[in-house]
Amino acid sequence: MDIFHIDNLSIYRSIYKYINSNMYLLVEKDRALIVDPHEDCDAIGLLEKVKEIVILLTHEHADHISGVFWFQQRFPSKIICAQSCSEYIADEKCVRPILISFILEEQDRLNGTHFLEEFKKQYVPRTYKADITFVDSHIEQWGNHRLDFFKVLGHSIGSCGIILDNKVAFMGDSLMKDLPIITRFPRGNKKVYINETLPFLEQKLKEDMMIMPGHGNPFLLNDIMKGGKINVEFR
Amino acid sequence: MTNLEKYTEAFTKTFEISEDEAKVLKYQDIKAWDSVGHMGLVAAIEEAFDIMMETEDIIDFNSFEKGKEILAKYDIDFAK
Repeated sequence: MDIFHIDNLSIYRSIYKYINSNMYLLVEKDRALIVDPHEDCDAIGLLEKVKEIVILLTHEHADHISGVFWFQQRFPSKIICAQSCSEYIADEKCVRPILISFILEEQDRLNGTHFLEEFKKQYVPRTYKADITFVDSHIEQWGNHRLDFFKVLGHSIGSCGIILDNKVAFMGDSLMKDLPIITRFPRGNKKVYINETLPFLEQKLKEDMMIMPGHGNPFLLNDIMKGGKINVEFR
Repeated sequence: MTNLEKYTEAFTKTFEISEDEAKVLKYQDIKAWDSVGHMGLVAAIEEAFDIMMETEDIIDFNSFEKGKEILAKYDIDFAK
């Protein structure tokens, strides 16, 4: 697990070994925020004094929700996510980790590894009921911190961005550096991403804001700006 | 629409290819049928036949022909 210090915030990041997705944790006294949870025993040490957690989901894909049940078993918790995300994670058909399984099988076949078997033992698909949902946007106060949620379409139907204290933005797979944005998943949409989401993000996010992506390393928004426009690759 | 037509249409619409191209298609023959494209194809097939495929079947589904064999397990009859 690594740690990023942004002004007075200390944000921990854990990388899911199977598919390199990021989970972020912010711990304050007896409570914690967890963004896109996955199982990680190291997190338990970090959460030793924590009595309740708030789980924030940037979107509904299995690599970003795989640890929800694992944390729910250990802490009283509530889930906040977009309405479309909540509908998806409540549907047993949608929570199957089929892309992760498919990619692991390909890797195992090429490399002679056995990660798929290990993953299948660890990950049991479950459905979830979100506690707080929103359609377009939502503001949540968490202690002295402000969380600003906003819908971000293109990668998936239930994607959102989450700005913490106007300093840090958790963007899931909707904004990454050196990795392509995938808009070809079912209910993804490249045209919407280009024509609506990017112009919106260019207005919404500040250039000196730290972006915490769903995969890859955190970066300043300015790092991917060119001529006042966000510059991303697609797959 | 017959089951074969519905099945073929899942390929032609997902990958924007012709029926003739679809009928001989194998995984990774075209750029569009990669791991991401596979998710779209599976979603289209599941919706077309109102089924939920097992993960093992989704992994094994690596060609147009193989897919027909797999769908037979879900009582999809391609003679209909």
